[in-house]
Amino acid sequence: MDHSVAALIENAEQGDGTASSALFALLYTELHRLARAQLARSANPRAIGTTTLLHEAYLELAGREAVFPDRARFMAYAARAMRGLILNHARARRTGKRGGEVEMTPLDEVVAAAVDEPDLERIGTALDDLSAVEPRLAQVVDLRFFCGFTFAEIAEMWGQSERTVQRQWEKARIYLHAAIGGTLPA
Amino acid sequence: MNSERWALLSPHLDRALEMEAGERAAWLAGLRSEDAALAAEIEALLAEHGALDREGFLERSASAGTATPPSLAGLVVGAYTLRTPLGQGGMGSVWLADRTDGRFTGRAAVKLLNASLIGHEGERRFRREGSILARLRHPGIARLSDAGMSPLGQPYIVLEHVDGVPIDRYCETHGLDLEKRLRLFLDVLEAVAHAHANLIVHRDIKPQNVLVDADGKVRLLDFGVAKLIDPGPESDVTATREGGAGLTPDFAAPEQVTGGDVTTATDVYGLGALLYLLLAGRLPLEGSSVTPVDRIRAIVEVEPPPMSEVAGSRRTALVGDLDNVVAKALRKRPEERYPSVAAFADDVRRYLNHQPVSARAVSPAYRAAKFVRRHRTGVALAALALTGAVVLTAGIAWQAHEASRQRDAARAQLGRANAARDFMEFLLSAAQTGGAKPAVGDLLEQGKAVIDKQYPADDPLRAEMLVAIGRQYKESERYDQAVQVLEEAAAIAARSGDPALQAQALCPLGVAKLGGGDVEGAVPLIEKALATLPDRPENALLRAECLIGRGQTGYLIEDSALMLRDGEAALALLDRLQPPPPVRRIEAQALLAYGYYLSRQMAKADAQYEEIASALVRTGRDRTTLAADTYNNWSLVHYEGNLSRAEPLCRRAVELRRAVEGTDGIAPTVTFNHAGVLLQLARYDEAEPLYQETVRTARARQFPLIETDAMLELADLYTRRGDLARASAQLETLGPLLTGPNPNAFRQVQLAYMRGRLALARHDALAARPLLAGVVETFEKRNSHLGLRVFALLELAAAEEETGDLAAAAATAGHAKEIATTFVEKDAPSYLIGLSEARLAAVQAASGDAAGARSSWGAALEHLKVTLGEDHPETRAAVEGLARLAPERASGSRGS
Repeated sequence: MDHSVAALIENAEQGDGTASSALFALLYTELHRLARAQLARSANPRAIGTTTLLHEAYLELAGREAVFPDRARFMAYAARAMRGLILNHARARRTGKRGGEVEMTPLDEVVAAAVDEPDLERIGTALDDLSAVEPRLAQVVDLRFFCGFTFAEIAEMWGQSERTVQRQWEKARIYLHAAIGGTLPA
Repeated sequence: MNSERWALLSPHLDRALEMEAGERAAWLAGLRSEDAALAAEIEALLAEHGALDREGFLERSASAGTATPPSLAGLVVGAYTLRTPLGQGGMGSVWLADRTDGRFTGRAAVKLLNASLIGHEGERRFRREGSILARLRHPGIARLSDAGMSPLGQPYIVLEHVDGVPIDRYCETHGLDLEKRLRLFLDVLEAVAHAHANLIVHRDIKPQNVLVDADGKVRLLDFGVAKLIDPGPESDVTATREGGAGLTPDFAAPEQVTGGDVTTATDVYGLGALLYLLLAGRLPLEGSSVTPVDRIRAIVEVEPPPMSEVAGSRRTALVGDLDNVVAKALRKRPEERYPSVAAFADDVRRYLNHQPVSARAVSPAYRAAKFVRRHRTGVALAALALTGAVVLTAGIAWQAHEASRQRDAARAQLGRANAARDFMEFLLSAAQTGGAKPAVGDLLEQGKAVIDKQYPADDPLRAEMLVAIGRQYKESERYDQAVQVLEEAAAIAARSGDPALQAQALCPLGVAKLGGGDVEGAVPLIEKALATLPDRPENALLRAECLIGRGQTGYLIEDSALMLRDGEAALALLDRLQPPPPVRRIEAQALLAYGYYLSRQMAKADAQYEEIASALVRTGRDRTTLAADTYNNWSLVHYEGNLSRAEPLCRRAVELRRAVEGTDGIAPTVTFNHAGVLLQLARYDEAEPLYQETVRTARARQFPLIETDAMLELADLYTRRGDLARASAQLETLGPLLTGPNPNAFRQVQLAYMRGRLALARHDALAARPLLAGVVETFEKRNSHLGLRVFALLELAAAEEETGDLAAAAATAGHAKEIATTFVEKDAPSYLIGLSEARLAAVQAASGDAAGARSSWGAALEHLKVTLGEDHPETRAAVEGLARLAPERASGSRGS
């Protein structure tokens, strides 16, 4: 199988399950590797933002790839992988199981700072459902909540107005809150 | 919130969110008159939206930096209550604490470790190690009195509280002279020797861990603590050890950064570094590095300058014996250091007593010899050192000669290198394992440095040498470096106007780009090389290499025609050479084999792999990763057909991987493939541990997909073995994993399949049928070529049969057979066809179609006996099925 990210994205978009698995695995591994590399070279690991990680992953992978669909699609997939990474860390922290890792990672810090961890997991599940119905909404949450992009950055990436992105975000938030058992009628 | 409801609400929400508040009220009123319930719902959601805004739901990004951690003062940890923080280090934070359990009073230092212990086993190990350390008693060692877990699950240790200053600062503030420094250092050595006698290694000797109290007594902290939180060998050496576990690279021994064995010699090194600091006033490797990577490399490679060269005022006292003593403690190879701390102390005492020391100066010749030798350590195959010697001893020789002789030597060397290149490259590529990579990288970096020094920028010879280095980088999968070096070579070659030289640089450059995933960048380079290189006998090898390079793009883009065409052409060229170069030949054959496999010409693929395997044996390469991968790919040829053939091939791949990679942790793909075959062969007792191993290694190497796949198939294994409770439990654990953090459509389909299968095993066909029908539908839509598609159909047929829908069951089983037939060549034995025939037969028998059943059972047996074996439960079931038909045989034949 062609393992270039460009080809994987293309195949994944045509509904190829194996390609999307491979894509996810690739980005996940890459982000994980970068997170660790960041940690190793930074004097203050706490200062690391996931946005930096994503940009770095993009540059690194884009540098290796002659043809690349575009940055927005890459970011959508990478942000999805980032969500997986953060949720995995959250879950690992909660269960105290971490495959061979001992160091506190930047992700631990960010997870600790966000919402309640059980909530975080439920949000993850809800996002999966949401991405089946309105993928754009799930993507905006991945980019903003899990990766810390601003509306302006996302708008620029997608070539949409900031206002549109904000609407999508608000709508996604309503969905998620209802889905994780907020006070809405279920 | 279900998706239908959301789909209904969604467009209204879009509109509502676009509106201003006033506008919205009017719009809602309108909507209410049309559909009151819908309007109420939208209104509720909008009200919620306002509340979410106010409470900032999800506004705080999951990645937007961190809050200051809450103070832990007052936290009760074991018998102690934390009072004030003493410091923060790589390993964790240290607190001054009071004993507050009422039994004793006293102060202690409590260290909260940044370590997550993996499960109960990890916690047990931690407590066990802690209790070993607690037995270490020496006046020079701060006692560890307890090791445990806080209520929050954080591991901690309780240490005797030492009021002192780091030894280097103590020496400076007290203005100690050389002799006093050495005597103080002897106290340190004595304490460490005591610990070593108790088989405890410190592992992290540095000034911060060597305190001197107000009475001038040395007190060592954190003895063995580094081991308590050692992540173990499976972790990423550089990142974890440097960044996480708090190891101090300034004092770390080479074996600690390369993942070698940590022994008492490791402490000898740390002590040598400490003595260097105390006497020279600076670190041994200070200034030799900027980035952490450089730092790590320096630890492994850079010889620290003699103390006397950097010491300033104490210079004269250090020249000679003390330089030699410290250098001996700081040797890169553990076995060349002092054999014990006592021997180290002995030499220090001899110096103080003006006796000759045992340590000898290092001669330049020794350094040069060691340069090559050093790279042998940690390399998987001893033969690799030979290739290192070819490149690097040459480099050293060149340095020693004048310019013209350099050239001659280099040319001669190059001739040799060319002759040996095929062999070298094979060794390097085949020797690749995770652990060996750094050593190979070192080697090449040194080689590049020699070339940079020896050859002017536009020298064609420089290009050739760069090509040699670039090819090695490529073989060791360091594509970035390979591309960089080869691009320089290509530029020189282009200026030289020599097409052969150009092709020599461009082909490997193309292949290196390919390795980095850059197919589009790779192909034109190779095409250009082929176009510029005249098709003459002297260019045959180069042309073959270019063709192989182009053919290898086929692995990535799954282009069987390309692989077959270039493979054939390359092989023809190579076979004109006398003798044909074996590695290139194998590469060309591998193109053919995989090309056949991709184009479903399984018989040809099989024959080709067979030839490759015998070539590997003939050329002594049958115990390499290349061989392992050959067997793995070979097994794929039979994976959807004859499992009795696939099994020994998978087994061989696993064995070879174990031989090359070591017994703990081999590539999870290989074990997974083997386990899959064993599962189908109903050899559950062999498959189970392999799956478990796969889960472990996939987790350790962060292959989450293989990990879930292996767990899913384990559930399948339990189901087939009749261990339904366990299967169900396994699926329970997998459920959240597959829908939670990394959901994946394909795995969810697999999960549905396993659930269906389990329901069927519980004879709950009503529950199984819709699950399996959903799975089948998904596969049909995608026209999948996976064996699982056939299995889903077979299970669905079984569910249909059990629910009494025999017509549907017969159609489904027939469809399964049809699909299975497309997976193999015509008339080839296939267990999937066999299973389909068997299922069809069972349905036919149940419908009273004895003749049909007989013929189907017969066909099933033909396939199953060969592919799964006579003793396989499915084969036996087929035999029994046929036997049950026998009594009706007479009436059956009479009727027809």
